[in-house]
Amino acid sequence: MELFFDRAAVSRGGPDIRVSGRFGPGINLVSGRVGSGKSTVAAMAAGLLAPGEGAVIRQGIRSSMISFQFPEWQVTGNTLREEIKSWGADEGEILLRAGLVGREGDDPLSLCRGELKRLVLSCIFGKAWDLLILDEPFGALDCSGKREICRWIEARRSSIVVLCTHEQRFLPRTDFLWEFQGHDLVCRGTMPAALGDWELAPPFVKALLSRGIVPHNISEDDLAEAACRIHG
Amino acid sequence: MQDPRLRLLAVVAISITAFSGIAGAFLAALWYLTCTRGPGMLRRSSWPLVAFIPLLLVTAAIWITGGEWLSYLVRLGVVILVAIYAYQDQKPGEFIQVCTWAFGPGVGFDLGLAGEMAVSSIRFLGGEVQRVRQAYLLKSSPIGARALSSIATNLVFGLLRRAEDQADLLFVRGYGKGGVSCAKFSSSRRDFIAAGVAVLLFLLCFFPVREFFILAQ
Repeated sequence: MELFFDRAAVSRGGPDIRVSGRFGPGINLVSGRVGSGKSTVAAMAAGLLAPGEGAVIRQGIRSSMISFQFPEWQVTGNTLREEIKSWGADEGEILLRAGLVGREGDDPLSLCRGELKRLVLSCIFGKAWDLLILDEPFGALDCSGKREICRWIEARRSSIVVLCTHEQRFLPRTDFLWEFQGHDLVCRGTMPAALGDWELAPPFVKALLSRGIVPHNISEDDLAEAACRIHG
Repeated sequence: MQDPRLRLLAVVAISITAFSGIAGAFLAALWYLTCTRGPGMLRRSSWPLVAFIPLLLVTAAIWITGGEWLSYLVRLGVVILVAIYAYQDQKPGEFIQVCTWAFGPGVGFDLGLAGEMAVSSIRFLGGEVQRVRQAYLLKSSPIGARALSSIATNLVFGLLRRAEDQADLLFVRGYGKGGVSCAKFSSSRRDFIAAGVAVLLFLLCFFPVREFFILAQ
């Protein structure tokens, strides 16, 4: 199972966004500044945007789903009940997971963005996907919500997970690190070896590395464990 | 066309020409094909063609009631094509610039602002329609009659919410009435030719040119 970007390039009114490389099973973190092209890569990976040059090739992927940055873009139902049904998910389970029990008759667009994000992500994580693309899944969520999403993501390690985010604090335990250099997406490698090359690494990670401490990974627990290794 | 004033003049003149009769519609279609980038823009983004749906419905009603449906279809069809071109060729901010230039900073600005907001709502609607299609595609859900009513309701409520947000925004930014638009217009030779041809066709359709030439002989 593999998602292969064969020198894919696309232009959306600005400079060309270029991607080359193979995304395999595991959690692939795509890091980059705002406007670098993360959402464009997500759209290409999901097959919603055809590259102007090169190709995006899916091998052995039978099912895929994308979570958009803005959850209202995925709403098709007039009530929460209809919305959950449109995903083919179990109503009771999703309402519980999203913390929205008793609101099944509400209009999804009447929810605040954080609630809607939780609802859509609950529906997406309620099913198994070979390829799961998450475009800024932490947006609009509070700290506990972000921690929970990290746990959900970590439970999907057997799928290809493409996580596009500029979140700096709450991140799941990651397998592969990708980073935008300008508008070119490059693979930095596997964790923890890739940390040294990570230009946009969170300040906390940089502080640890500057003290010669290499965290095992970038999850909150890994960073806390690494911080405990500091003496004096 | 670069100059929005000439574009507006041309579009108004050619739309009236198209509506005046079958011959006018034929000439207007020729103008659309030769003097504008309309066909190319329509190939790149074809969603405005949905504007033909109400036209087809009305045409069907005229046909059923025994009216002149063909003439209506041809004349209005060309008017819609020209309107789509005017919409697709327009850049944000141009409408307010032209209205302020034409009618001054009071009424002109307000008129332009209203028009600009209406046009931006159409653009917003275009994006929303695309996203809705994407959402259904991702869920592998068919867009049936029931879904269409749900989509339409959501789009209307979305537009109402947006209008409310825009009104709040204008209020917090201190908008009362009127305003100044410091527009700079630039016209190309092509603009003058396209607008000139449109006005000429309008004159040909509405003035008894043939009689003038007979008298001159």
